[in-house]
Amino acid sequence: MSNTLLIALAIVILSGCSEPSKTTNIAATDITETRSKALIEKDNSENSGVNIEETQAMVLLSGLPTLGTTDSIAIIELDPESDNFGDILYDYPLPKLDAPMHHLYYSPTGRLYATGLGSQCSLAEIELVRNAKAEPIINNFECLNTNGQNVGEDIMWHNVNGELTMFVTFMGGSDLSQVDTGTIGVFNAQNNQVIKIIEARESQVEPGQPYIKFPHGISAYKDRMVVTSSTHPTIPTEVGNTITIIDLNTLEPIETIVIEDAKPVGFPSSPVEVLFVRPSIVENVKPAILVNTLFGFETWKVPYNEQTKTFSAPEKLYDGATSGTAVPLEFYGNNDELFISHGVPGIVKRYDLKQLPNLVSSGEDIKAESGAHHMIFYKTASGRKLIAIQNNLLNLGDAKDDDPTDIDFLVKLNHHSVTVHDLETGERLGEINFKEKYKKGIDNIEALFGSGFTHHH
Amino acid sequence: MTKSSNNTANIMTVNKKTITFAFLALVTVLVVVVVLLRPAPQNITLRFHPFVGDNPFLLNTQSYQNPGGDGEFTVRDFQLFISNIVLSSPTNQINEQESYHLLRFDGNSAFDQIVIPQIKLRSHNQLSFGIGVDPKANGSLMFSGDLDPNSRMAWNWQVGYKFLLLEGTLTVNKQQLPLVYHIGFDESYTELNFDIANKIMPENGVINFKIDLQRLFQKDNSHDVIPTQPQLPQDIEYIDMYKMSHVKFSPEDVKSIANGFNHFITIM
Amino acid sequence: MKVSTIVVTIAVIFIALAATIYSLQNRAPNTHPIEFTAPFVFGRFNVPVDNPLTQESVLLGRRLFYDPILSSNNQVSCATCHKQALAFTDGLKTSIGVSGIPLKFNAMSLANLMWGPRHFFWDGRVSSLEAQAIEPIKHVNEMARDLEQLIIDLNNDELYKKLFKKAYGEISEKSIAKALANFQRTLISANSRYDQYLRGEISLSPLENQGRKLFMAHPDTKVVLRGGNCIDCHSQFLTSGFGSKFDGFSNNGLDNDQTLQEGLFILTQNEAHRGLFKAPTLRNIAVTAPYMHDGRFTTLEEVLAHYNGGIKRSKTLSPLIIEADNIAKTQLDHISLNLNDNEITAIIAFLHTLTDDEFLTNSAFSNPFMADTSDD
Repeated sequence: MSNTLLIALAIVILSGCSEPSKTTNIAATDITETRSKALIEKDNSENSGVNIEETQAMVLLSGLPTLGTTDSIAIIELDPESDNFGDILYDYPLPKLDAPMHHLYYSPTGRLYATGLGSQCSLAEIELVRNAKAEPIINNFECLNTNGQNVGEDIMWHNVNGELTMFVTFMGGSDLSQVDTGTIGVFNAQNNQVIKIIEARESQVEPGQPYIKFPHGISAYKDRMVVTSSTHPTIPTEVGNTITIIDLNTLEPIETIVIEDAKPVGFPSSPVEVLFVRPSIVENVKPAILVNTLFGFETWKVPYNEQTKTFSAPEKLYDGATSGTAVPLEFYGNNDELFISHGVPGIVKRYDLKQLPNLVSSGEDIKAESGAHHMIFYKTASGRKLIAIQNNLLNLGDAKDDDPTDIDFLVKLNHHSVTVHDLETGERLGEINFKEKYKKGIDNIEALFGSGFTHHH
Repeated sequence: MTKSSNNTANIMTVNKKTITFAFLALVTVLVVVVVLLRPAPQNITLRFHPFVGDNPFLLNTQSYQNPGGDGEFTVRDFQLFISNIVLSSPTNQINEQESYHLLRFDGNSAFDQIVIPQIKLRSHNQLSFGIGVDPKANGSLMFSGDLDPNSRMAWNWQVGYKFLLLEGTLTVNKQQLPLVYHIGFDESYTELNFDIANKIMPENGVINFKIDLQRLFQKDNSHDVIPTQPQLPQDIEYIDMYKMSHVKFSPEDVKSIANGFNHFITIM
Repeated sequence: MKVSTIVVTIAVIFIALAATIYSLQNRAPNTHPIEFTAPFVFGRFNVPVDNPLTQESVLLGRRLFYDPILSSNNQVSCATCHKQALAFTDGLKTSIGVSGIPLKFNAMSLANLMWGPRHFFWDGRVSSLEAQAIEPIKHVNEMARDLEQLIIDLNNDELYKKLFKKAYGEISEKSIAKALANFQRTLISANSRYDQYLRGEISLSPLENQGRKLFMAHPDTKVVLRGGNCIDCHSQFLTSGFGSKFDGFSNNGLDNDQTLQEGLFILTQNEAHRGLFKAPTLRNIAVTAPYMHDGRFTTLEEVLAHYNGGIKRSKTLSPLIIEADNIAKTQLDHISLNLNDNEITAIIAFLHTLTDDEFLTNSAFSNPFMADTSDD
């Protein structure tokens, strides 16, 4: 528990030290009102009269038992120029579960999945349909059989021997009581059946052999997959400091790499999200793994030699402790840039995609709120390019308060909001505070049609 | 104030009237000036005129010289996606929403056009758009603008959209060869930028573009060692349709046609 | 009581009465929207603003669809040529109506009509389901019904009077068309094995999956991609023709120039459209034999044989069909996909996954006259 306090202290200090966010309104873009797509002179009005679904997002919301609300998946309007900005257009109540659903993912074939942070429903498929008014609604929410894996985190789809395969990281593995738990579920992407559970507990493998603890981030390139060893979901003292490479030909771990040097809060580094930078993301790039460390506050690079299939020594690219940021979380990339969210002080840093795997800034930080985490990219009704950022780390409150969004050190990292910014200037155009407006916490945000090209894993 | 109020009452009244009048006049002038100077919302029309070289393009009925070889070709269908239209000036940028337009030339008109309604014009001097579908939309099942995964321009969800579809017939020595060019793939998405200062027709807001099918078949000379000056028309080399009569999934062939995306649309 | 009070009171009552009568006469029927869900991948759909999908209109439309009152001899209903068990086709080469003279065309399946081409009939001659619904009623060889007389007859039927009143307020050609159109809009087929596969509920067999891949691919010998080329005319999820303009119409090589029929030309008067017919939905294709607009093929094997060597050349034949070949072209006079027997079997196996038994037996689509005794 003292470690938790330490983190809390560090976060308080860091967030206290970090500069107050400068509001730089660089030549505020003139929003010119342009109406919907050009149909005026098109004879065929097949698409007229439809609402704009591009600005709609799906969010996972956590109910607050004390305030009488329950968990749900909602479709919200995110166009700050719309009268309906922040409105819940559709709300699908989730069954009562032991922990909130955590992450929404679209499969490459357009199917929608969610991971969950508990044991009752660590992985689910969600069926999206249209109703008689042609509106998107959820028809079914089905918890999937994971052979007993706990605490689902990330999902990625990858072709293994020509077959589309779904990989899910389970931080809690098959047994939450073990200090070195954690597994990767390998699923048939068509029928969601378990193909294999990859497990390599440190206490069970030979010394020096590769192991996996509390896997969280996941990414892959060709026949090499990388997962992180982050933190034990229930035992706060158990924290990892490695990434592990899995050979996708055999689905076996082959190498564990330590990603750590300074310990700014006295904790192991806790690698969290990873991105295998590869030619499909940046043309002709020399592949490398990027790693964010939750408690190391850093971003690392692990170069990969495709010919020899070997990884070189990790290099630290970014040090949050000296730069006034902490709790780096997600990687998201669009056509031009890579974005990394930092929970403290609540910013999104942006880098030139073409310069990857090195981090070359492409603009000023986007000032969100504490807990800056997941994000989506879209265009408004007038066509302005936007980024919406979810500012909330986790809704895993202690049972005593009966408020999952309100606990101890997480307070600083749970702003319960989505902030909407101009993608180019970073200017904040709107904010929705889910706790104030809907008495709910927010866990995840995803565009209604998925993020498609977004480089996230 | 109270002391002098009686003495100055008359003057005040006169002054008040005068001032009021002057003020009203000023306001009127200002309003008129502002209204006159403020750009009235105007539709901007991107009008695309298809050509093959200097000849206007007609479906089915007209045949054209094979750009890089013998024979003549006719076209049965020609469609392409124009995406992500952005109008910009130094201080101002307008991104069109749901900006996925399928241009097609099978109507009764000699051109196809995209109307962006009610733009408050203020010296827009740059226009950009993409040819094809940006990778994000190309990888999703999104219905937006003219994007429709159940349309003719969709392949299947793994491959995404055909960015450009050109189908027809090449006749060489009385022998008929089907022409099928289905050009897609994320890598082919090409962004074009145009300087549109003085190019917008003031009376109707139209910008005229030429789409030249011949230039679509322009060979890629970018690998030349010496960066050439703007090429002279007679120096341009073209692809022989006979040698490359169908392009679908072969990455090399797709690349060589998609290279033409950089050349085949110009402002008239 | 004062006289003036009485006058005022009477006036008030009169005005109130008049207002009530006026509002009763002009009130739109109190209707209830229907509810259903459709797959996300089918896409958005539009319903005409002047014909919302109401329970009342669908109830009425279903009754009309199955009622021979729509025909001059009171023996032919829409369902005569559109039988639910056959995915709303009739199993005949071309349909036969009141005249007994075989019609020009094979009865089209009715499924997922809110998506795909906005032009109806094999030659696309009308552009709304409402307009489509009236044509067979009037057609001399189909139902040959005088519409004015039909409206009189419907007005003499107390039940119809009630149903029309509830759905549209009145009996007219327009409301007959609207009701029939709305019933047909509800005919959604979305629970075939292919749909279940798309939803991840089942896996296809290796043969079916091979067929699915072949269906979705235009062959390209340059990259060793084998394909059945179906996707060039039948969209990936709906398996119907394409919705935009006339993209859903094609000349698939059934006839040579001498025997080429008018097809879409009848609507557009464009020579390039001669011999182009609507690419139909392939939903339930295994139960909608015989095939093509004139029902010339009796089995799916014959259909595949057509694409695999039976193509006839004509001036509007799709270049996609000429070009599509799984063997690098060596000569041009013989057009064939050059699929092998195994591949043909695979494609047919995939086509069978499009059969939606729930659709074929859904009691909401069935004959209400048969169900009257049990349902109501």
